[in-house]
Amino acid sequence: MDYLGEFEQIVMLAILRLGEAAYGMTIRKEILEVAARPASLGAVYTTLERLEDKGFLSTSIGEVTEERAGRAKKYFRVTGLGQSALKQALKSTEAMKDGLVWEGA
Amino acid sequence: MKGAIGLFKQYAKLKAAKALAREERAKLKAEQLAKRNAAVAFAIVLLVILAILSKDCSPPPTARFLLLLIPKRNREHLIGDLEEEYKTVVLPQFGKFRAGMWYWAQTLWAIGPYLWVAFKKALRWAVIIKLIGG
Repeated sequence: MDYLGEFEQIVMLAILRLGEAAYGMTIRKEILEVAARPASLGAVYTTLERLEDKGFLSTSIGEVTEERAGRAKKYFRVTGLGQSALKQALKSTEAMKDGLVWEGA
Repeated sequence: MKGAIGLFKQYAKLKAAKALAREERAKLKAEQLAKRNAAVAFAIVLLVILAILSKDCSPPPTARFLLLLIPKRNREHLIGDLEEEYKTVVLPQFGKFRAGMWYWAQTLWAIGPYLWVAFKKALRWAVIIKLIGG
């Protein structure tokens, strides 16, 4: 199974949090607001493409709005394979954290 | 002997005249350069003022053009997202000038990762070709 990088995990979690409304702009906004991490649209899209290629995301083309100058939205959803990969990655991180004593905490 | 001294004096005079002419030419060139720089600076200031005063609120066209560097696969969606955020969030909140700056920054940040990926791919191919070619 493909290993998930830290930013890939954040992007997938953002998509899961957003549910039906997950597309480029909202994913970027969610990462900024929840994880307090500024990410460029370019970085978000390159990660989304990588995850899509791995089979962790599925896409659907959405509506065209006036603010988007006639360009369609691309919605993202986490696939079953993506969910199990994410669960595994988070479990591994938790296991690594377990029993650690943090200095200055 | 006198003839030689006269010749030398003439030569020195000629050399001094040449140096003077060179100095004047350099001075003239510096003046011309300063004038040209002032004209360029004036044109830039004028363009910025016109851009601020302009009622056209669409994103900077040059930045839009640069976005064509993004691969076709997600280009339309990425530009659409950028336009949507520009028109619905940034422009009403920050005004035209700062929104334009934001669009420029986003454009450069958007094409950056794609250029980096392309560079890494090119580097990988270069290494493979070098290994095959010996």
